[in-house]
This record gives sequence, structure tokens and C-alpha cells, in this order.
Amino acid sequence: MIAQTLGRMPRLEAVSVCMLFVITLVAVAAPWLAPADPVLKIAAPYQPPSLNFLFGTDEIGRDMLARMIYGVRLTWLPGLTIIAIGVLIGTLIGVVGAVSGGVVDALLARLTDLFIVIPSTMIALAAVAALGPGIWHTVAAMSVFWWPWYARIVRGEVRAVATRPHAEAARLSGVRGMRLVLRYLLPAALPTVLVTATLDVANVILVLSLFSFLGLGAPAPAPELGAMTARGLASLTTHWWIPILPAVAIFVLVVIANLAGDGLRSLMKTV
Amino acid sequence: MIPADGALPPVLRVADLSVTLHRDGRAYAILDRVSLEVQRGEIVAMLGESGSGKSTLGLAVMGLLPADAGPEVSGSVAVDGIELLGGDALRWRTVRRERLGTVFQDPIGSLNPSIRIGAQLAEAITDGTPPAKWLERVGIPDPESRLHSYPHQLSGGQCQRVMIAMAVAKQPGLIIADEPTTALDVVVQAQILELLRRLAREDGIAMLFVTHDLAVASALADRIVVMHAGRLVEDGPVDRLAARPGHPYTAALLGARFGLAADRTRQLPTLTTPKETAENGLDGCAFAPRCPLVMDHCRTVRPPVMAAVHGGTVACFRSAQVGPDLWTRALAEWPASVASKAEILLEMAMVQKTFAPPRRILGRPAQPVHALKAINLRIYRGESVAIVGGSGSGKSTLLRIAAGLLAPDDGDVVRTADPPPQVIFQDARGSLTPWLSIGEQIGERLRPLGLPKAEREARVAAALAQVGLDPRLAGARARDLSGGQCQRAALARAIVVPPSLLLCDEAISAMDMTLAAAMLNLIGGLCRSLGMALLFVTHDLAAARFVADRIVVMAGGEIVEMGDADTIVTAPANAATQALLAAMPDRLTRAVA
Repeated sequence: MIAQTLGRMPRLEAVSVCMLFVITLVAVAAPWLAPADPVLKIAAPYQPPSLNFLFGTDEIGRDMLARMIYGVRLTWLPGLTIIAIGVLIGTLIGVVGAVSGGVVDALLARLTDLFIVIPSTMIALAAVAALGPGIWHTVAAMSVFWWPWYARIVRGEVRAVATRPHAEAARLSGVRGMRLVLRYLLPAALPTVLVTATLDVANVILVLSLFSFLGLGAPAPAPELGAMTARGLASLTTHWWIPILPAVAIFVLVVIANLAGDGLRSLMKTV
Repeated sequence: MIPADGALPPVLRVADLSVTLHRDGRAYAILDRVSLEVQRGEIVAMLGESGSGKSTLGLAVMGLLPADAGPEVSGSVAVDGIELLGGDALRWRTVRRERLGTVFQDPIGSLNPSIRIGAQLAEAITDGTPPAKWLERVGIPDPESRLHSYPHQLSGGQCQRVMIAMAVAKQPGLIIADEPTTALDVVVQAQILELLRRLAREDGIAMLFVTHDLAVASALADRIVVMHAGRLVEDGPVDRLAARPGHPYTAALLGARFGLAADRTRQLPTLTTPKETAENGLDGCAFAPRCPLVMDHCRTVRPPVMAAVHGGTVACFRSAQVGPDLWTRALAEWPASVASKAEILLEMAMVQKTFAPPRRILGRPAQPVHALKAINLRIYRGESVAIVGGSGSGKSTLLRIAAGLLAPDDGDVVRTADPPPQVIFQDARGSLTPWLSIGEQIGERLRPLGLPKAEREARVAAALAQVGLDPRLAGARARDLSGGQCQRAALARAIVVPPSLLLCDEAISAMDMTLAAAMLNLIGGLCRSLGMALLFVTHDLAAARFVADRIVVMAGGEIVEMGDADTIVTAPANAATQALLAAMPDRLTRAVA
């Protein structure tokens, strides 16, 4: 069945959807996959990529491959966490607004609008700077701002489906309350939310990398892709692999998330 | 390519055309060796139920078969003597542009929404006539200013007129029209048919008119060809074919057309639904499994095309035994109605409903729409009432208020019906939740009863059987079912706990004749056997008369006439009723002769 579903997408997009799972697997299994400890000096510094060290070593002599694998973990997992929290909060606010209507809906909708118009990335930056750098501070600060689009999508979809004949027929059948919401209304929003979330992974990764590039991610020895790019910039002209490889990794993650999102979206159209 | 004897080739010649389409890796033979000719200036209606391949034939002629279905085409298609199969895409495009006009079912979707209609029309005009002249010719009022309108600013009927103007303006030899009036209401449909016929006649354009509606076909065409399961089964001049059909399938289509004079005392004749697995491509007659006259010979040998009594051709061995009453001979009468004036199920008193217009920032404020103005209506236990009206008459609003889906602005609605009324919607597929199984949705109505699971499943299976569905379909989703099966599933949900009042909102409007007749039989039978009262909202007076004891006619948000079904149809007092009657396809023959 999975093969069939993937078969209905363009090939590149189908591969990207598979890659999403591979990346998540790499992120989770990083401690077992990494060939060396990412924070310890294991060889001479500034070794170019070779058979011994596939991605070379950095300015201290740490294995770049190990650091990149951990870097994916430190970017990908927080990214998924932020999306998951955003989807949860957004769905809750969207559903409550759509179902209750009236004043509650108006208030929640305005609250959502408010969160969309304020420059969230700037405020999150300020908040992390105030709380002190750290990956979980970043996750917390960004989650607060990541839900409004989901709230808007869920509210719109639920309100639209509620007036469709099948939802009306369910109400006439005597379905009420939570059962109506969970079984008959919310599933209509799921495909759109899923597609948006997949496309959104790319955004989150870019913002997270920006935070870490600016030094607001995990503290110094931690191998974050953005921070590695930032610290390696000084060696760009002499030892290109130190800043370029982590930057390329960010690029690849973003492209894959985008393509996978496009793939899922094309599925929605054909259904 | 004019033949040596100087005669012009037919405007369309299709010979031995077979089309196979692929879906989910399976091959489906959609057309099976179809041969057909359309002469210059001739109007041919191609008739068939959904899935008969009639639309595919139109697409195949235009070279617009869906590429992602991997079409395999063999045979020959020639327009004006130019062979198109095997030719390059450019030749097809040239023929399409210069010699073929097309009118599709969805007029609004067929026009480019971002281009003014004047500009779209100008592209189609070849002889330099001003576009406004064409708009005038197709009966669009105030043509000069309409040129600057976008498609969304026009009604569906007006868009279809623009499409017709674009099709005719090319002065093609042939117009292919695929169900161009199905999405329109009856009054507009009558006007569009009249327009099509008049333009085709005036300009000598031939037309291939694809439809599922025999009445529409006979109102419009010179000749009817009948498609069944991808094969052309009958071909003959319209009047003689209707009087003396040669194929049992055509006889069934004739019998299922519930005109204003249909026999109300018994069921309508219907066909068994075609098997899901297409039997075409095999030997034998594809109609054999549904045919009352079938012989062993029919199952093994494909009937050749032979001369028919009506002067055309037919593909049936038993053509001589077929008559117009083939299907009506052995139908039982309805059981007596159980209507009782003693108990009122639904009472509406001075019910009003107004829809606020969308707020506008600039310009004059729009007028509110008075959907219902002071409606008084009573429905008694066991009776069946039809509400008839054109679009915008308020009939659907009335039904939604009766169902409790909409609250009236003013007036009283008293519902004594228990369990609460159930609704059958026009969009059958849309009335089933796509991600839940049919059985789960039917079972939802049994939940308040607190039955054990096994008993609930048994009741669901029984309800499915009652509406003529295989109980195994309980596990299916709406997407696995055909449109007719979806409507039956919706009906099963409504009657699993029989309500005392069943509300139908245009429940058969989107169906072809044979499906609609089967649905009317089913609804009529269930209402009588379960003692349900029926409120049947429709624009179709023939369906209303067939199913209802009483007809209520609405226009402009008011009840303009109410009375016994036969009286309303035979002696309409109100102008709105007369307009609806005049638009019935039954009467069209006279209107556009």
C-alpha cells in the first residue's frame, strides 16, 4: 500500500518522502552511526576529506562526519518537535474556535491574527537571548510562535467541512460533541495539516540554523549545523570543507523537506 | 479528399473504434468496435447510461482522451474525411480548431475565469463578425456591456450560451456537445436546447449530442444512437425509434422515462444494474445479463448490426420480440398508501428566512435574499408531498428548515416526528464521510439504542439489503461505490431506524434516467412499507407526480400552488407551475420542433 501511494507521486518527490524517514532514522540513531565522538579531538586538525576521514577533520581535529551526523540530530529532532507542538496547539485552537463559533471564535481568530502579524522570529531571538542560549530554549521560544498558521488552516477546514452534506448527515444521525469533532470534522483537516507540516519542516530548519548560526543554539562544543558553518567561516578560503559541508547539509535537508511536501500535496490533488 | 463521385464525405465517420483505458494498472475496454456516421447538418443524439462509453467516444473524436489513463485506440476516426487516428498531434489540433466545436457539461469551468468573455469569444470568431453580434445571437441581453464581464459574473445558463457562441462562431462542420444541459435547471435547459437546435439548423452545422436523457435526445435530434457497455446497440430516426425500439435496452430507457403520464399505481420499470466487471471485449451480447429476452445464443455470439423495423440498425437477435411495453408487462401495483390526516408530523406556520448579502466595502449595499416568505405547510403521517420549484424558489431552504439544519428567522416549526427526520441529499457521494466505512456511518444511528455489536452489525446488514445493496459493502468507503450505490447507502442510513418523515433534497436530479427510476421505486416502496411520510424536493414535475400524493409548487420564496398531484400536472393554475410544465422535456418536442 505504501509502495502504491508513493507510486502515484513524481519520482523525485517519492524518493524525498522516503528520505524523510531515513533522515529521522539517522537523527535518532546518531550515537550508533557516528564513527567517532563528535566533541573529542581524534586526529590532526585541518585534514581534508580522505578515506580515513570521509568529511575530513575540523580546526581542532574532530571528525567532521561524526559532527555532521550529530548536527543532523541536533537540527532535525528539535525541528520536528517544534512542528509537532505547533500542530498540536494550532489544531486545538483551530478546532475550539471553529466548533464554538461566536465570541470565542472571534477572539481566537484575532489572537491567531495577532501572532501571525508580530515579527515572531525577532521576538523568539530576543527571548532566547534573554533566556540564555540552549537548544531547548530555542525550541520553547519558537513553539510559541509556530502554531498560528495551523490554527488558521484547521479552523478553515473544519468550518468548511461542517457545512458539507456528510457532516450534516452525521449530525442528523445524532452524532454530537467530541465524537462529531474527532470522527467527522477533524479528519478533513488532517491531509492539509500534514502537507503544510512537511513543507514547514524546511522553514523550521532554516530558522533553527539561523539561531545556531547566530550563536543562540546549543553551547559551543555541541555539533550544530548552523554553528559549525558560522565557526568554520574563517577557514572558508583555506579549508573549504569545514564551513561548506554543514551548509550543504542544511541545504539538502531543506530541499528534501520541500520536495516531500510537494509530493504529499500532489497526492492530495489526485485523491 | 473528396471522393471521385463528387459526394462530400460525412462530417464524422467513426469505424470500428475501440478504446481501452487503464486505471490502477487494470485495463478497461471502454469502447468496443463502434461505428457511426454523422452527415452534414444532421443532429445525432448519443444516448446511454453512465459508464456506457458515450463521453469517451466524444473525447476520442476530439483526441482528448486522458493521457494518464494510457489510452489504446484502434479503428478509424475521420472528420470531413480527414483521418485522425495515427496522425500527428498537429493535424488533430488543426481539425479541432477549424472543424470541431465543443460544448461541455460544466460551462463555468470551461471558460477561462481570468479573461473577459468578449476576448475569449473573439478568439473563436473566424469571419470578423463583432463578438457582440454573437452574444446577441445566443440570446444574451445587453451584449455590448456583457463583453466586458468575466465568466463568474454570468449565470450557468449564460456561460453555456457563451460556450455555444464560441462553438458556433468557428463555423465548424460538427459540434460535439457532452451533456451541455445536465448542470442547468429545467427552464434554462429548455432554452439552451432550443438555442442549440436553432443555431445548428440556421448554419447547417451537424451536432453529436451526448446525453443520458431520452426526452432531451428526442426533443433535439434527428437521429438517436444508443450506446450500451461500450457498444453501439441501436441507431435510428428519432420518432420511429421511440415508437418501435428494436433493442431491449432502448425499450428499457423508454420505459424508465417517467413522463408526466407515467403510471403512478405501480413501480417504474428498471434495469438491473450492470455488473462491475465489464463483459465487453468478450463474445456474446453485453446486454445478455440484463435482458429478459435472452437466449443461450446471445451469450456466445455477438449480435451483428442488422436492419431494424424503424429503418435504422440494431444489434440484437431478438429485435422482433421487442416492443415499447417490453418492461412494463409484469410490474406489480404499489401497496395502498397509509396516509392519515389524523396526525401532523410537521407543521410550519409563517416561517420566514432571509439571507444577508455579503458585505460590500464599495458600491451600493446588496439586497438581502428573501428565501422564504411566510410559509405555511403541514405534513401528515404517512403521506408523501413533493415540493417543486425552479432554482432560487426557496424549496431547498424549506427542506433544510424542516430538517432542523437551518433555523428560521421568524415563524414556528413544530416537529412531532420521532425519530427526527432524515435527509437524502442531492450529492450522494458528498453525503457520505469519505474516511469512514458505510457500515460505521449507518451504525451511527443505532448507537442511541445501545445494542450489542453483533446485533448492530446485523441491523446494518439488513438495512443494506433493504435498499438493494450487498451487505458486504458495509466495509466499503464511498469512493469504492458508484453514484447510485452511494445514494442507496445514504438511504440505508436513513432507514436503519425508520424515521416517520424522510426528506429528499433533489435526490435524483444528478442521476441518469435508469438510476433515477430505480431510486424512485426504492423510495416509494420503502415509504409505503415502513410507513414513512415523504417530503420530496425536486425541480422535476414528473418525478414529483410519480412519487407524491400532493404537490406544493414554490416560486420566489412563496407557495404559489398546492394540490393533488394529478390535478397540478393536468390543470396548473399558477404561471410558475405552467412555466415548469412547459420546460419538461416531455413537452420540449413541441417547443423546438
